[in-house]
Amino acid sequence: MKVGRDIYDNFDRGQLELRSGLESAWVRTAISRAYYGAFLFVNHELNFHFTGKDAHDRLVSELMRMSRPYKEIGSKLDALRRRRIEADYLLSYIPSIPHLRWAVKTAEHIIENAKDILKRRSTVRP
Amino acid sequence: MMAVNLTSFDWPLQERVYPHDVDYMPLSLLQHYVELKELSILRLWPNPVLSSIKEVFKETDVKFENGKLRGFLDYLWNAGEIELGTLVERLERVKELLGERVKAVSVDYYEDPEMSDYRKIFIEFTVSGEDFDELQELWDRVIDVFYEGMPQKMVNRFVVSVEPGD
Repeated sequence: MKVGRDIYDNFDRGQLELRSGLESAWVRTAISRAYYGAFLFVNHELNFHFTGKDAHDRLVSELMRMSRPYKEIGSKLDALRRRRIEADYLLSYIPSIPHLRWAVKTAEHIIENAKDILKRRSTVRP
Repeated sequence: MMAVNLTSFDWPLQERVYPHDVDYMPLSLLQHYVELKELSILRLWPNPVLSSIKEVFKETDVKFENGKLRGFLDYLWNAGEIELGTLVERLERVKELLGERVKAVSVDYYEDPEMSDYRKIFIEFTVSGEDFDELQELWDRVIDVFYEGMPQKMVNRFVVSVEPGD
């Protein structure tokens, strides 16, 4: 996640500009890392520990069967995954800073929500 | 206002829409005819889901983004994976929640090339006047009203997103 945030901050501060294929690759990478950062945090820290190729599907499916705030996390992860797929696979995708900003902020929001769940879990333990 | 020379485009409706000697037209008119083309496609290839989305958000700019979208919706429809009444009701709730903040709606199909059955319909609501924190909260509420009581088979196929419009 930090990689995605660092790349976004560099664009935001004007230290990177989206002019060439190289910078486009940075944006694609940052969107991808934002997704994986959120996915790995939720999957590991919330103790789902899904593994294998379908871990992403199983995590979202499980979260979507649960109530708030898990369902919101699952739905946002799925939306973020769509951007990750575009960024990683689609040659026709045109990377943009608004997409990058949206991806980083969404990933951070997902992680914050997951941290709130962890805090609540720790306070209800005997 | 910017003028567009239609003769420089591959414009299939040109001869029918403009039988006279019209070389230029405002960009807003071009958009108008692109919209007509979209509606024409809906008439030629009716799809109850897309028509319903257009109907619910009739005052809003609605776009269907991906050529595979119609085929996939036909597949879901024929497989009984979509309850149209449920979808329309949820979209009406979302519309009520977003109110005038919603500036555009886009409906897209996407798949994961590494997974055989990861195929989804993505409904994206573009809203204005919200900062990112407010946007996330609004998105949470959209998720609440959209998925509440929705059959799991539909939950698995539809993804909703709220994105900033400015």
